[in-house]
Amino acid sequence: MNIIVCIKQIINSIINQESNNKRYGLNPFDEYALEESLKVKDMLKAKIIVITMGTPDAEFILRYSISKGVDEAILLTDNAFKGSDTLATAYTLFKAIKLINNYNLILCGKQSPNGNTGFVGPELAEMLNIPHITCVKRIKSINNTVVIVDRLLDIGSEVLESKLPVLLTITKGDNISRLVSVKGRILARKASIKIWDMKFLNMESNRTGSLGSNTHISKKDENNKQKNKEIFTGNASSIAVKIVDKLLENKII
Amino acid sequence: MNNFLKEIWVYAEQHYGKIDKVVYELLNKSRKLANKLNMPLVTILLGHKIRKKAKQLIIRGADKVYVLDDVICNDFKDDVYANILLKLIKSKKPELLLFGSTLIGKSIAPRIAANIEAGIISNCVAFKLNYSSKTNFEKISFITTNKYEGKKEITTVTISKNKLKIVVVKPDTLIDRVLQNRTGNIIDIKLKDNEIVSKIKSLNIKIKQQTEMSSNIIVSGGRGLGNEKGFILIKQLAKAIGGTIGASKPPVDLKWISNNFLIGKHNIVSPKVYIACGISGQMKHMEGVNINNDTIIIAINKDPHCKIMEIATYAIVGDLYKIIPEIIKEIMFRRTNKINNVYKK
Repeated sequence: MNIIVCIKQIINSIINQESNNKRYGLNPFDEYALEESLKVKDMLKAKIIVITMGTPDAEFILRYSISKGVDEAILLTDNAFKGSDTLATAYTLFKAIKLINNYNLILCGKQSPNGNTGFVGPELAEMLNIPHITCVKRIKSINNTVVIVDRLLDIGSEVLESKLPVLLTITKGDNISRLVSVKGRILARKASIKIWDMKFLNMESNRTGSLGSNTHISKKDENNKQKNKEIFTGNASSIAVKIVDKLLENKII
Repeated sequence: MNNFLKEIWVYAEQHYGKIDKVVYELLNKSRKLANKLNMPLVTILLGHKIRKKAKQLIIRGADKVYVLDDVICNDFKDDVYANILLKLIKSKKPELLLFGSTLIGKSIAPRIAANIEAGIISNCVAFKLNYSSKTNFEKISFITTNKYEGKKEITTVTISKNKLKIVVVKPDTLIDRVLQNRTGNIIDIKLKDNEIVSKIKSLNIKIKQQTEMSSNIIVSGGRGLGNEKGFILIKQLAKAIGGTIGASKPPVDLKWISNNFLIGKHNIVSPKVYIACGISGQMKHMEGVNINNDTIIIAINKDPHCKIMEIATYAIVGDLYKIIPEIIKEIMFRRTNKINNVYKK
């Protein structure tokens, strides 16, 4: 079984314990995806390749993945990738996966914190012309032809069976991320990371980066005046008036 | 050179014959846009035994409803729905396609975007129109919000002119305005035999218990209620505010309320508003509440330092037996007097 896990580095307030460089970490949803891939590897003979599109620092999360037990790691990096929207990102991953060529299962985290779109997984599946299932809480079972998953719906949850190959986006389930072993750490340090750029992927420059993006950010504002914590004390009727003001303000009633 | 159909399309999500509330709100928002741009508002309804619901979309603003009523659409399947929608979009080529921000919308929309190389945006909260006298066209931009690293980012995004625009819109008010005598066209679409084949099979579906009231607002009670009478108050508040009720484990263990209302690890809820009364906010309970960037948590508790007061958006310190009746009174008062504190965007 050949598994590909697509991961993304984030600049974080959530810090990986193993990190020396405290600025970067792994997208928490990708952590769940990684764990699911390792669970599959526990169940049957599997090879896991992890890929990321990012800056050269993203090598950190690749080595971290190796320390957990993945077999190979590929870094897609190029100045030309800068400014990519979800489609351009998916296309870059697509080109890389086409080069790898051999896969039965592709896993992605459900979404990443700095965009919160959750689009890349389904876009990638469409480009590869394979089915996809989003919000998978866990992989219940898998063999060479099908996988059975438990996935979230807005109205509840559902157990689905899909033919392979399939792309799954993974969300928080019951799994606890495994710890890194000493052996894992050594492997991670020694591992050789493949580094692929735009030329290696044989990509046209108008399919990646800001040139390859159909969406453009025209203005970005940071609103620090958050819908933040407010405390209400005092007599009940004055509290009631204030809180009902808030309910109206937030269009709850 | 823009050869798109000048129409605004809205995907009308439904589950087992019930149209999702986000669609109604989305129709409301896009009706205003359609009026400003002078374009028809079109919806697509896929399902089984769903045709009779098409009228619900028309009375909420749709000028035209494409209906595909087929047994293959009975259960939602990502590949089937995306395929059907894609065929329709490729044949008609509307300029703007809108989805509500649901798990299904966010699954299908990107598949379509990838197939036709559209521009796709998520987390949209508003549309902005800028009239350009140079091109004599209204240029539309999309306001999106995202919380990142503790800060709320408000971003204005545009899409390349010659690309289909696909936008996933976040619900905010779930307002549902109906005009009973509105008319529109219903167009039936038929699938050819074996036109769509799915690689995915549904083995089992578990539907969360949902009542007629919006489960977007949950009023929940905990140990701090003191006794089972506390749930009378909880139910009254839920009714006044238009929500459903919930509970943490202690009241269920103490048999103050049925275990059907337990919220925790094995019964997870994702309300927009969570009102926790007499709940301390322990992990065991809170992991049952999906909290995201926009969730509003209101906590009523005697103890200002308990866990829930730290994470609440509005932390009310006091005796819930005094406060809840006052809140109910105030809500009723405002409603009957139609006093609106207006905080317009």
